[in-house]
Amino acid sequence: MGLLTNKFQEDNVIVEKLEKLLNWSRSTSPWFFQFGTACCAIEMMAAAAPRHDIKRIGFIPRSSPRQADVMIVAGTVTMKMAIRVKKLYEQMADPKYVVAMGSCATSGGPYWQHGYHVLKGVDIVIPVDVYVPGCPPRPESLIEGLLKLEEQILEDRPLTRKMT
Amino acid sequence: MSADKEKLIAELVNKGLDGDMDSVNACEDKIIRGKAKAMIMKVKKGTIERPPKPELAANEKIDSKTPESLSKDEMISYLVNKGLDGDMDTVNVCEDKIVRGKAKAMIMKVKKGTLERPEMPILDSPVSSGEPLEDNTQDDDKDTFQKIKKLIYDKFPNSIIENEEGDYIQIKPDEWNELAVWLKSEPSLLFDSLQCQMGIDIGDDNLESRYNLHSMELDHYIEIRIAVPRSDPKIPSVEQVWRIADWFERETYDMLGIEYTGHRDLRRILLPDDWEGWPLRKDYQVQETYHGIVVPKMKEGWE
Amino acid sequence: MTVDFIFDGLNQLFPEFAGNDIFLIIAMLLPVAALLGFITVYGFGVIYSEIKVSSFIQDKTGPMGQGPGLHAGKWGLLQPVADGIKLFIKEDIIPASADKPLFILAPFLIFIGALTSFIAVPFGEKIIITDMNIGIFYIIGVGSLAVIALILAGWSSNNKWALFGGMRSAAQIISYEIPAGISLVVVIMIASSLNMQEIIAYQAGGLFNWIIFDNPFMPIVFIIFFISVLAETNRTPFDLPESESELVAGFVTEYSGTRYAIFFLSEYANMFVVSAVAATAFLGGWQSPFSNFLNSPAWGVFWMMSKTFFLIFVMIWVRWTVPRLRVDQLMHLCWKVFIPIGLFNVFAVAIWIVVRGS
Repeated sequence: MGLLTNKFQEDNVIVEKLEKLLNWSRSTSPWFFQFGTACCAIEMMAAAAPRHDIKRIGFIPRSSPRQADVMIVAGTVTMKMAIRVKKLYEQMADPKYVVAMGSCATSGGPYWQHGYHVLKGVDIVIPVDVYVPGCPPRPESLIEGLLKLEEQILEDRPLTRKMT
Repeated sequence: MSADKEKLIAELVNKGLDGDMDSVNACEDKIIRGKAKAMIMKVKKGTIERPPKPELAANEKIDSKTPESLSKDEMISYLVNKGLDGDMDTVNVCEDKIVRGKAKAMIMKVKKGTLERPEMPILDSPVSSGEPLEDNTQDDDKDTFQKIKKLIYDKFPNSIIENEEGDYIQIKPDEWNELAVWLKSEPSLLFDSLQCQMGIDIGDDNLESRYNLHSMELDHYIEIRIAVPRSDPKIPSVEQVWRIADWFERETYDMLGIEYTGHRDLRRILLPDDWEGWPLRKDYQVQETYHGIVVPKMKEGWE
Repeated sequence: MTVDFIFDGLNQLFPEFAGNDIFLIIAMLLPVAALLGFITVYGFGVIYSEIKVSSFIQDKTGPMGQGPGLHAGKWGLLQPVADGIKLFIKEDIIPASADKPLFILAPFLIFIGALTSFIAVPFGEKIIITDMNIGIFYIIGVGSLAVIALILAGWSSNNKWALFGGMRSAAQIISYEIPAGISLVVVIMIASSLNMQEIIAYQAGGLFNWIIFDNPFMPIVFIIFFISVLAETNRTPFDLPESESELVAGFVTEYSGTRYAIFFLSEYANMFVVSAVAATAFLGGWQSPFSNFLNSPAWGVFWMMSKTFFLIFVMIWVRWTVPRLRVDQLMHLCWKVFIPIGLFNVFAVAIWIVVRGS
């Protein structure tokens, strides 16, 4: 709360940008769409378990893509699955973000050289915001990635007119 | 249980109740040993009566089996091992004086330390029901295999292709279905479990499909191989004989392109349905794009 | 009560315009506005407590306000506020093949069903928006509007998971209304009135005058009623319609943003209403458990709120303790276990009343 209390030094009224309110609300409660495909999914479940808890930073798991903000792609994405990944990404409601968890989602993982059916990185089909490397990344790594995503959301400009 | 085995169990139970647990423990056969121990427990508790001590025939005594097929050396090693384990009775009962003497001498030497303990030869293990075709020894394995091969050859002489080494049977794909049905139903073979079916590209313009069969009743294994040319790979499907072959054959079809005629639902199982090519063939070239997604072999910028 | 009170007050304040229709409208709208405010605050509170209580049950800490920047306040108190704002500024997606009018109508209907039953809930001795002489009957009747809304939501989404969820939910709700109604019939027999305030007035005089201690069958009746209303509000262990592992998200699969927020909120509003009805009918409403002590009207609000919130806490507690029931086990429980026991209770209590004298 440091941001706000500092401003109350001289006056009783503070003026802030609406963007900051919107960004704050989106960054504080990013509901994630659990899209675990392979071994990284186990680490994602471990991150949601009591020991390292991602609920305390606001990430609540939802199972329907329409109600989620963030899609955590955890695990290997094959060509067969890539089409579904794209479909689910398009079903998410704006504003949406993607976290590529693990080396398979980042760049094909251990299958980068000979995997003929593996998608070499999920950013070939959907735009990714945060890459979390590791095979699989420990829950602490995933939490660091998610916190970076929250910082990124705080710097978003939703109400500014975008240049086309 | 045959009469011999019952007598043996009665013998062991009596020995055990008299205090000689060593001879019970030295018995090789797990099943007989277990039954004897269980009976001893029950008699001690009082649930059943002590069985009468069977008459001792000449050499039909303590050892669970005196297999005739053991050679002299193996007999000596067997007796030495028994003696070292504490069962001197087996040694004493052996009729052949020379073998007995040699065994006792060896036991002394091993106990003193001048000689190493010889290996225990593998003896037969009784099978529950039916006439087993094979023993556990290496020789008997080969025996069984030859017997099965001979049986198949007698019934389907046109199918077998001779092969030199190995413990597999190479057959032609034409009568495979009838052969499979016969293999499953023939009482002395009874191959009711298809353990594994795989396809392999063995070069020379040939693809091969290999079947590992196992009989749960009679406990024997066999491998069957069928080779087909690369340009027209067609093998009759055995899906209706062993139901697990359904998915095995789909996988082989998916990876190698071997078409199983008569399969009711032959489609790809791992790759997407509109994938082109058979990946596990040696001359496979991965396709360029799939639904617009480029399938690069190497991502650009990597080395 | 409250509407009459405000109407009389306005008449006294402005005697020259007494009896005007405008006053009646104002008298009706003011309490409703207050009610909406109450629901909003209550919504934030119950969502926060659900997340926190569920996290404590699972040995976690729940949102603690950690994260970059100005985050969710100390102990995560601003978390539900952030959730609410985020849901409202999300994109509003209506699937192209969905039935558009029904799709838009469903969240409204379910909220109407939840909201209109609030007007018969007695918050205190004189604080009830309308004191109807058929109070309980009204609440049960209006509460069934949710069924229509759920079927509409499931059907109009044009999604097979949503359809399954909607149908199952409809079957569940209309089945479990029967044991709930039967249990309330027992209460009505004992208190001889349908009026909410009269039922509470019957229970005056301390802890052992509450209806739940009236005769030995009442605890069973209360348990059946409580479990049936758990099923009516689609809470675990009966949350098959919105279960995650089975039907992607049940009937709310295709809803995003504000519409989803309304479904979400109406579930909690429903929870409040049924807890309030349970507290009124069985636990004495705004009566204090001590016969003379802490008995004033202001304390009445406190007692009513605490009983209701305790029952809501039990609902949240049960949700995170018990696994989910399969749909056939659910139906079996309702039709083959609860209804026979409920009917038996009706007869037993009736005989008790006749024998003992009321």
